[in-house]
Amino acid sequence: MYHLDNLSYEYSRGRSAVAGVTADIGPGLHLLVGENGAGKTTLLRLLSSLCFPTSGSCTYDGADVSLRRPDSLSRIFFMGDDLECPFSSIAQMARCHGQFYTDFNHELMYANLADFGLTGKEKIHTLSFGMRRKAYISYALALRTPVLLLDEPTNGMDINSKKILRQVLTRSVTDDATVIISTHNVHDLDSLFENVMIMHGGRLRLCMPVWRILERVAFVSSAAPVSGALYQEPDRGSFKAIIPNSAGLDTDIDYRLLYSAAMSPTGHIMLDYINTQISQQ
Amino acid sequence: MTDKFSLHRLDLIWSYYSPAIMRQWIWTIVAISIMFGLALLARTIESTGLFSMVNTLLLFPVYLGPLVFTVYDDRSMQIQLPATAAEKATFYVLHSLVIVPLAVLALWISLNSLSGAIFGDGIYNYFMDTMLEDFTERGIEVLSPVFIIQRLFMELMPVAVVLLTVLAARRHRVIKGIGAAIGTLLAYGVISGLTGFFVAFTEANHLETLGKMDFSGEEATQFVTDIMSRLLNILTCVTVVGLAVTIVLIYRQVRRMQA
Repeated sequence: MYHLDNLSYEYSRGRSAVAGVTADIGPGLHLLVGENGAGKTTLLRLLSSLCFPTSGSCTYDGADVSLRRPDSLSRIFFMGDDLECPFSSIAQMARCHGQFYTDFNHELMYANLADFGLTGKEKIHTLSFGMRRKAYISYALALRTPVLLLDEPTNGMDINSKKILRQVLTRSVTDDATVIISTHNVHDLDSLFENVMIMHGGRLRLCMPVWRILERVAFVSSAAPVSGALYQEPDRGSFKAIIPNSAGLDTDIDYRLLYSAAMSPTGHIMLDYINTQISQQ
Repeated sequence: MTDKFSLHRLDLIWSYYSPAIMRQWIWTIVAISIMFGLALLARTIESTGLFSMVNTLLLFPVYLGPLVFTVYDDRSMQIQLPATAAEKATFYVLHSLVIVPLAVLALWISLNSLSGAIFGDGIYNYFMDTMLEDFTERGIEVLSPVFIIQRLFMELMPVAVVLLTVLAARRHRVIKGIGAAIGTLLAYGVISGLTGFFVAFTEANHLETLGKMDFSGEEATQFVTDIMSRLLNILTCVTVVGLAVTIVLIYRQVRRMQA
């Protein structure tokens, strides 16, 4: 379990990338969304100790992540969107790097690679960007770290590969693992997410399980504007809206609508409603 | 997993970097082989100047040994490696300041022995007599333990500076590493010149005070010996302190590295 306490990060010129983030992040598959420059990647880097917070703290299972103790490092792996593999092939990476991770599973890695049509012996420099991403993800999932942080994992992947990624994630991720996926392409993996994190302007505006969000609000579609909606927008001749779920409606979450609502000028109304409902319980 | 210093993890770090290190060694062997070829040429034409040049160039594979760590351009992998900062830094320092110099020396000694089979006497042995004569005239005992240790520290200083540069720089690490090696050597030249001037000036002043400016041959040799000895001692102290500080900075850099 991550515990973030007023976590902040400022660049050397004083620009704030992450500001006052306080949250508990437990096991499950988490979706992390936000506009460009919202601080998503910086947050993931703080969670993986790749950078040190300017203030506040980030602990994982009680250990301060920024101390970079081997025990913590062996339990967290961050795969950035600009990861450059220093090895000639994934097989070599598994031999030279995988041995740091006690739960690394070779069979799982090769199974993941096979699903993507790879063997692991391909020379990395000969692979296209999308194929490299598939290879890295296959490897990262096989490390079996309790925490896996993925930044834009579907970048460069074709439609079929994104479907395969869903299968691979389902097979590889255990119930007690914490996987945080930062992506702009929510639809690729929307059926898998159990928790939602929304960042806006460096602040974590929402960090909540999907089922809890659906307890508070409902996602509806209507031919006419919905009165009392926390947020709504026109969509191909109808209106999609987020309304308070006082009637206990059973609806599916619409990530795109939720994101649009959070980013809108009146997004704070919806977010305050959801977050306040939590604190009232 | 223990957080204490672990030799096993040091071994794993070696495994992590081994593919790049092996590739670097191929290039190093090629470079040393070419230098050995030049040394053979120097022996054939009996050119001490060419041999001295080769002797100097031989140090560059050592100076630039830390460039192997620029192959691993992605800092995130480096930082995330489950090992303590002390283990990582110890590996970088051991590899750059101990293993590479010893390996280059071993390779050169082996080639020198091989040349003995061709010329009846190793190339290095052949030229050492001439060079020893020259040094002795200048008042330096080349084969004394003190001189050897002094030279050792002086040759390791550029290596440490290159290693620190490579670890600290985010971009253009190869260029900056090479620049750091050249810069350190130039700085040595400047410091040596200034120190030599200072030492000679103070010695001359001292002798003038004593009214002893007219030298006999032996006194002149002793005067030069005293200056050179003082100069080397001062440079060695500066180098030892500089090397210690640089190694501390390397450890600090590894500990505080951010992606």
